[in-house]
Amino acid sequence: MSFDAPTIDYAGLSPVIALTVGLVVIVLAAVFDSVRRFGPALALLTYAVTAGCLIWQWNANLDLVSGSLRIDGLAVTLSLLAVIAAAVAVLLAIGDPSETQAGRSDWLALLTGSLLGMVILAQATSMLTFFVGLELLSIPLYALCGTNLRRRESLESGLKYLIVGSVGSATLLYGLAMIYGASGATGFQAISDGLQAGDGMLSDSLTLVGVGMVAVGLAFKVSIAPFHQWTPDVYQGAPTPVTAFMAVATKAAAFAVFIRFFLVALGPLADQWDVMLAALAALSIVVGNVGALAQTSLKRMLGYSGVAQAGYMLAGIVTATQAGVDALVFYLAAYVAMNVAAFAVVVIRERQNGFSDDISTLRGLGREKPLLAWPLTIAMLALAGLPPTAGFIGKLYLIEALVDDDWTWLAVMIAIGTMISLGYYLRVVATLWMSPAGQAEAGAEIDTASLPPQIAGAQADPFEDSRADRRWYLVAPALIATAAALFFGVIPQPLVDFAQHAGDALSVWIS
Amino acid sequence: MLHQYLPVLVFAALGILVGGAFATLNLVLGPKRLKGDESSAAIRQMDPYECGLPSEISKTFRFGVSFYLVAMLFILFDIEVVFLYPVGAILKSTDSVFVLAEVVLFVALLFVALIYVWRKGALDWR
Amino acid sequence: MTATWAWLVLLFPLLGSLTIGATFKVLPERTAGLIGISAIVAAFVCGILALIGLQGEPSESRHVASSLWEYANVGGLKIDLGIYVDPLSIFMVLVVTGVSSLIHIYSYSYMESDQGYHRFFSYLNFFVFSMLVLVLAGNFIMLIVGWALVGFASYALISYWYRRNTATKAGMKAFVINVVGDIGLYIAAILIFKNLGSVDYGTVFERAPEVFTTNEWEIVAICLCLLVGAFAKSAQMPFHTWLADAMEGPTPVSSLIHAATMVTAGVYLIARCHSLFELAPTAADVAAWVGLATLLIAGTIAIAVTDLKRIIAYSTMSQIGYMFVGVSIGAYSAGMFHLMTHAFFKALLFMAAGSFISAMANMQDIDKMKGFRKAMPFTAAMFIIGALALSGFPGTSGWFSKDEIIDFAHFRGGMYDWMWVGMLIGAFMTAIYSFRIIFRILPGPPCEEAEYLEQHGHVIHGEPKNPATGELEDTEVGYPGEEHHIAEQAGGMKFAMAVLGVLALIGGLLQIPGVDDVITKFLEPTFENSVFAHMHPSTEDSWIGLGEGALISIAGIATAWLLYIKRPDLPVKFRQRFSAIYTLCVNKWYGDEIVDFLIVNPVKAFGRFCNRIFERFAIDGATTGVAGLTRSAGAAVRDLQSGLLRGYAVLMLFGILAIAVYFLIRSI
Repeated sequence: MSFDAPTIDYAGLSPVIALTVGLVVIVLAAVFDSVRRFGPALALLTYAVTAGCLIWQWNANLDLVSGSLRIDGLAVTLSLLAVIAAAVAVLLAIGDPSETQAGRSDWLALLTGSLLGMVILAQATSMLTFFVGLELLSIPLYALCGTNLRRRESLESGLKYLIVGSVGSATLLYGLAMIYGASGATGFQAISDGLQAGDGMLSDSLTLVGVGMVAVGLAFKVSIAPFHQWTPDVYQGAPTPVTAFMAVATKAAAFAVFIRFFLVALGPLADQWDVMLAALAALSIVVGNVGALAQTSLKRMLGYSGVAQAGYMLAGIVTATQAGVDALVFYLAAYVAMNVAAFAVVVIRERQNGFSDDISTLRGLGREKPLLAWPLTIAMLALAGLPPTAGFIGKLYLIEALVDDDWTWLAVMIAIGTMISLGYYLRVVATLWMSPAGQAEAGAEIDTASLPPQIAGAQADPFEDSRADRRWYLVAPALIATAAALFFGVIPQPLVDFAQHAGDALSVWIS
Repeated sequence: MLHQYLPVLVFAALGILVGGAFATLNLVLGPKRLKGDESSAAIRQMDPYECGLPSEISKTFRFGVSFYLVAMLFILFDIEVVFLYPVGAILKSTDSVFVLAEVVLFVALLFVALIYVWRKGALDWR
Repeated sequence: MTATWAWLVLLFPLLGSLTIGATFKVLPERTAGLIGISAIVAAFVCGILALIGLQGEPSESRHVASSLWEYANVGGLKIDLGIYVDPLSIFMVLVVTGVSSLIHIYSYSYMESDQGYHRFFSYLNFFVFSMLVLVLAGNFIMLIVGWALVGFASYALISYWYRRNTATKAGMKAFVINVVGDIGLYIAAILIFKNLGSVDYGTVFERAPEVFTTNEWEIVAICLCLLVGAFAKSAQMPFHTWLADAMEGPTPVSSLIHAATMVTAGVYLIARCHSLFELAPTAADVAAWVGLATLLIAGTIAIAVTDLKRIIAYSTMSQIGYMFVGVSIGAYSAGMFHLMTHAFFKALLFMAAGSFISAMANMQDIDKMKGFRKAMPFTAAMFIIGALALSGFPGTSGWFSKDEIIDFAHFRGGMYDWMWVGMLIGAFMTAIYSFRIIFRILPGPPCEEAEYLEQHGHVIHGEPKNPATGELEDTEVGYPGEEHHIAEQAGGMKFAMAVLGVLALIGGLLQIPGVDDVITKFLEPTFENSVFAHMHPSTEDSWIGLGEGALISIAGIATAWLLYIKRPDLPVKFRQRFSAIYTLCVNKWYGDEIVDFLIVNPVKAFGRFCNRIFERFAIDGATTGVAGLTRSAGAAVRDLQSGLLRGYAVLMLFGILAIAVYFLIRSI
């Protein structure tokens, strides 16, 4: 028996290889005391190498591993966003109780594992890699959410995310099975061909229910309403560096596969699913923005705002055009910058006042610490889509793509959502700048009595770091992200090119 | 036409046969508990097997966490090893360095995981 | 060159705002004020230089579009960071910067003892910058940017005394209503881009007549959306409720935002988009009728309420109503002319009102003011000038501008004759309420505060109270300062008021029918493509109109004299006899209540409904759903709200089901 070893393009696979090697090293570093403290450095090095590989493969456009992965503009750009988010999470987590309690490098290993899942997901062109990537992304993330072992909110959020996430995965898997049944193929391109070749498969009810279930499963991951309910709870409960990572990187990776699966594999069905996705997007915009209005916890508010933003981004897929994909990727990139800036400030504030993220704890920050108040201000204005920030251009881009493709009503929804969102974003800005400095809220309320003994016993060391606002690894991400959100708002062209690079990758399939 | 399903049938029959045989043997050969005998050996003999989980669990019963930990680790490594099996079956006939390298890589990754688990003390029974 | 000057107009206020904002810790207060003033004055000078540059061009090429750089080129949408300079925008620039300079000078003295001096000037400069972006914008996206920035700046300025609850609430209200307007504008821009493929002023106005036929529903929809924006920003019905509450801001703010600049943005928008509105006469008529309704209703409210600043605010609404009618029926230059004169006399009235309120130690009720004639002769004189101009007394600026609009309605005839009658009634009411204030607070025996001022030569020191609620206040940051300043004793205030007083008196001479018509000629290049460009009443008709205006104005003043001086019992009797009408007016025609009933309450109820649903899941879940799930989750999370998950699961199931059903139906 002769065996033909598959030809493997190691250059194209290099980002995945780099991350895997890094992951192994970090895992080993976790168990040897002498190197444990180099964990963050190792992680950052890994991400830098990965980013380097991705940039090296910038112009690549080829199938890898017998067509189960594909490295192209879409994969490279969105992987880069995920890698950036992960690097930021590493910095923000330095000294964070979640990281120390979970064991330093262990935490980083989980993060790297999740990132590996994202990179694979962004390249997936087969239902197998799609699902494997998604699970590799999700499972470490469930654990990461619960790494703040001494806060019940953290444990709760981890559990909640696990259960809800499993429901999402199961739904997705069920949907994939149905689509496989309809098309008889697992590769995205093959699914498309299979659906078109099959008799009446394009309007077969099982196919369409499968499409719906895949959409639901993905909607879970990117928190599209009505599959978003976990988002605020998990965002609030999870350690903030994890929340920051989850908020941006998961969206980047999940939207990558969302784009690829719906535009490539299910492209022939575009007429069937576009209305459904448009309805989901509109619902998300309404639910997210209205939900955020009443929140007092900053992280929770950002969770709801994330739901609304996911709705905006989903609108980019609805168009099923290259312009829509460009707009989505642009918006995602801007979203990374805005959220990183916001979450970095939240991390700093939380460390200074004993882990309370109530909006009222921001009072008077503008006067006391303008270096913290400005990033948050600009992040909020950018999320609200006010000029001259990247968020404004992003919304404009989306609206333009929608209007061009005759989805004017959805564009109007975005406009209305944007206006509603000013209500809560500006409330944060107002609290920052207008209120006088009040006393910082007392430490996080931890009700020891209600905790089971094995956890209550660990309450002894309330963590507080009054110098958090001087630590470069916390402040630098905030400032750089803010600068990016502003820079790309004033000179958006480089980011537009970045986004168009992603859209060009799909030029074979969509116009 | 149907003969291709024959192995399935054989497999099912074997399974029933072997399982049934053991259960029957157990019933026939095992010492019977005498009525009214309250000794611990006699009670234990009522349990279906002498290891694993008791079949009736009282509501207040809790497992040790260590049990779950070890059990889960076992399942993980067990399943990973299953993957080695088909490769092992064809490894010789393929005569390919690529396949060998893949297997070695796979085992190496497993080994890293084992080191991690070991050093973390997850294998110590506490 | 013109474009460069126009860019500098934008640059100076922005620089001023940033400088003051960034250096508030080190800069002495006075310096901050001076920087603020000089930034706006510099912008004004640049505006004049731009004007000179523009006038140097031949009239057919008297418009310049300039772009700093291509802001974004996304898909088919190309947006330049561009400005559009033509007579109309320069006209607005000059009005905005000119009046703003004077208001800055006034504030320099008026806000002297306030603890947030830097903040105030930084906001003020930022506001002027936003307003200039709005008027200079070269495309609809920049217009939206300016529109949104102005809304934000006004929010910041209205709730400037942010520890006053009434002020923060008023700011929120203004902001929310403005945002509704922003949505309208946003949608209009989307529709414009959809239909015309561009958002540049030049291209849009050029292409519109080719793409749309007159009164096609799409152009009407676009214009109605634009109108929503215009109504909200200009406090026209039914978006008017914020303006009166916005009087919670410092008086210079009222004068800057709520008289001279921001509220006129809607008028500017209609004038700017006149080629669109002429394609949609239905929408233009809607605007005119709304303007008419607003001017009448606001007039009646202004006669009834007793808060000095609120009277002037309602009068502003009413005057903006005139401008709306003007620019909507085609009297563009008349509308813009009234915008300018109104900026002069209304800013003057607010400034004088601020001076009176200072003398009353922050009290604003005109029932309590009396006999200020001797105590504050300068303020009184200025107030009388402002009131004369407002009521259109012959010879003053308001006479020329208001009657030109009224006259044009009569000139167009037909349906517009009704507007003509309505506006004449409005003019009569204007004269009554203007002189009602004067007859209440100037003559007669001086009230306690006026007497104190006369005898001691300085302002009485009252308890710092919130004029709206009577609550005691601090004088710290976030509250009005403890000292009060009146024009008689503060140079800056006196200077600003004197200049505006002169302008309010003689500003009308710019446009004497048949004599000079400066404004019409100046604005001609902008409106030359309009169907109304060469339609205007003959000089004789204009003078007849002016005559009517003069008569009505004098009749109104005489009526006010009769009601408030000669027979002060008459208003009381009237109040008793027609208590229903009085209650309606004094309650502002229940505008707030109607909005509450129609919009706010349903939205709140919806919110409560949603909340209840979610709460139900949360509470039910926490109490009953802990069973199986938490047990397996271990002791650590036993009593958490994992039950929520049940609620989640139900909702998810519904979502999945809905999608499945949708596809099943589609596949049949």
